Amino acid sequence: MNMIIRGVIVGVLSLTSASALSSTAYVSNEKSNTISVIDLDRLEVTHTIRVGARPRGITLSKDRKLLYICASDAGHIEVLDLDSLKVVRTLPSGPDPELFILSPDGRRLYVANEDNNMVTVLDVGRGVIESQIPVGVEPEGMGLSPDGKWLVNTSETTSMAHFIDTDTLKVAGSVLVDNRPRFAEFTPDGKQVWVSAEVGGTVSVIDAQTRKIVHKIGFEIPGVRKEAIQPVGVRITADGKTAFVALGPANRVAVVDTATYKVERYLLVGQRVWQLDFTPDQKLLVSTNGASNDISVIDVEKRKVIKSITVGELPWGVAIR
Amino acid sequence: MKRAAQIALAALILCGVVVSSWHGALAQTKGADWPCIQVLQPELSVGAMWSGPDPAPAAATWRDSPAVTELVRRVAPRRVAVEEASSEMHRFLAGASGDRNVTATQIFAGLFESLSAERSAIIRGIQRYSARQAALTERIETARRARDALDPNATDPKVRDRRVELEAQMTWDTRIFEDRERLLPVICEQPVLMERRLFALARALAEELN
Repeated sequence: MNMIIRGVIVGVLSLTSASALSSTAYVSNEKSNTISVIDLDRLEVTHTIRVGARPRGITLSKDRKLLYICASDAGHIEVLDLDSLKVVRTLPSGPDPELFILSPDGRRLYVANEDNNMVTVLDVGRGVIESQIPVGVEPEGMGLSPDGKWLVNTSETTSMAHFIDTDTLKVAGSVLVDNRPRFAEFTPDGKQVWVSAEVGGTVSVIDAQTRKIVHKIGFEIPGVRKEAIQPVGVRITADGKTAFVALGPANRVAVVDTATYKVERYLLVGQRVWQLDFTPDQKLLVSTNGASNDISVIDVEKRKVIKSITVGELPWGVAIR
Repeated sequence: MKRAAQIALAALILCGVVVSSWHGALAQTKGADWPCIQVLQPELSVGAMWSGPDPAPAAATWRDSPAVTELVRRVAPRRVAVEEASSEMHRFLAGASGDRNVTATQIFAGLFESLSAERSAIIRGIQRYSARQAALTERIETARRARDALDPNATDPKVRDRRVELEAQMTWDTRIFEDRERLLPVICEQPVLMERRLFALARALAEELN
């Protein structure tokens, strides 16, 4: 009897510790209008949830209990409860919300409105639009300094990174980068912003204080035509030492040493790799591969793709808890 | 029209266009009309498909191996499902003698060459399809201008007959044009599907690398 009880306790404890370590990835599928839920221990899709039309940017609430979803063609933001997996709330966003970022205190969502050249500032608690900030044409990338003071928005057609003061909600300065900037990511110390340029084929490293480009990273992959190298999503490890850059139809993720700006490796993932996110423990990185309808799971330390998992059609955004 | 029927008809049209393109315009000029919303990628990049051993030497030698050549001939066609083709390649490599990495790279080189050639032919076919549509538009416009130039109050039977003839021609041409336009999304998807197939087969081969 004692043995049985002990066995049950050990079993329960091992299950508890496994679930404490396990991570769940949420992926927006732009064409199938769904969110795929992926168990990153079992490396398989566990649920598929139908949401509003053309889900693209997604992000977690600070308590990690909710998922905010840019439903671009529905023209609003949906809030998915991650326990019930039901959409529990709809928030205004301005037209065609593509990508957004949550303030460090979780109170504001800054939303890029691709169609009307605005950044919408949304009060999440009250569910009302606080302000709309005019920026360049086709705003998309949204980066926020770790202290939440500076928002960097990229405008695709204007090819600029706009620095927005989140106290005054005004553009304080703009930096010209290469063609079609898609994504902005601050380094964890807040000193630099990395901006990818899809058509330019580069990542501009901008000094956040002086707003000058301190380095431009180019990419060369043997056997890949230059125009197929289109940098999009960028993620930097919490220790600030390594950056991962998704290279679109080159089907590769570049691993960059942030001290030297040298590309250490190009990992072959899936077709048209778009966005990236780390697991909370930073051991894994997940890429969304829009054209092959899958995600790739990368071992961060080993710099190795460990699995590709089929999701919905045109996977776009990814968030992991 | 049902989707399956659309695909079948699109395949038939492309087949005809592709075959004629082999004999005719082997190299369409750069910047030729591209009717699809998909961005035209004229060629595929080896490095976007493969991260195994350098496939350049294998590209020159894969035909020297009759077994590899026969395998490529069997698994490359689109009628063979990706899962079936992948299983066949796995079986082949499991039973193959010699360096598995070398053989897998040779198979990749063969598939890349075969599927790239087929994809390029499809692209040329789409460009010809687009040119035909442009010509049809011009024909409809010419007929419209000719019809409008006729005196609407003419009592001459020859003029009336000519009007009827031109309007019948316009009706048919417009119908053909619209039917073809409806097929365009399916046709435009073909190069993307080819690229996806090649990527999936390359990934299956990469699983066999040591």
